[in-house]
Amino acid sequence: MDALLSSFLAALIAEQGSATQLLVLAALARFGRSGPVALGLVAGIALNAALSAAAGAGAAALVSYRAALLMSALALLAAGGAMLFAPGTLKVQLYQRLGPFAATLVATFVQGFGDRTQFLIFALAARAEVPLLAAVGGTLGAIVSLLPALLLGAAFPRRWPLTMLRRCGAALFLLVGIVLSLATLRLI
Amino acid sequence: MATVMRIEAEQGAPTELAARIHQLGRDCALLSVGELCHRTDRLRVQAAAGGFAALARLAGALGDALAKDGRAAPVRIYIDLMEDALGCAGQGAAAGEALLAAASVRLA
Repeated sequence: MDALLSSFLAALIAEQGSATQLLVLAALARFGRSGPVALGLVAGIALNAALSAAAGAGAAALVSYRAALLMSALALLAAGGAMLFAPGTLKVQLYQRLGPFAATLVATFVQGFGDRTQFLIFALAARAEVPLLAAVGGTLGAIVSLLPALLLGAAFPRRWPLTMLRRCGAALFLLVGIVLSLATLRLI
Repeated sequence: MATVMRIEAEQGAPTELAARIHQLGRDCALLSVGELCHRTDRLRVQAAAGGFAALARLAGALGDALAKDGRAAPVRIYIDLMEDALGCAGQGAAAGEALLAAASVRLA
């Protein structure tokens, strides 16, 4: 349960001001608000989280628990650093000919590949007893954080305190990352 | 030119609009603010006439940003989104609002 909660919170915070939120708005512009778009988002996020957790579980077999802890600290520091900046250009296009579900799924998967949330889920799964819980928690956290963009649509940046949440999230990740690094290296 | 062809092939957008956006993106660092405003307005009018409401909305917003902030306006962000807007021909003005929201997220 520890992995479920920690990855839920990590993904919930990490997705604030992320490129995936940009992708949600682009999908709304391209396809309108629809069930297939929401399902494509959920499927893309779940696929990414499952892949990260599987990789984390694989890595856990190769490294010590302390190294896995240090990896978590690095993931937190990297996420905190990335959150200091607003999202850049989307890496992907929404291919209209694929239809709303498949286009959103593919775009969400590609956009989320290698981003801060995936690294966090990977690191948390590496030290979890049940890595699947890290994937489930990460998926739920990312979905919850994308709901405001999905529901508010064009009003999202006006009605959601995006900059404040992104900066607070960055500060929190950096602080916890520094403390965890120092504790893992037995410096405190 | 490769970008123009890609947009046209993938989204079925009229070549002229795609070319105008591409040229605007290519020349934006070299043009005066006045010329940028002029070209943006021509793009807006042409997009509106062609039924590209989202693109017209974004071009209008870029014109406003240029008038307000001059050279400091985030032209590149609008150009990226205008390329996206070419694929939203049937979505009406709501698509333009969603893309403008995306611009706000990138500027937040």
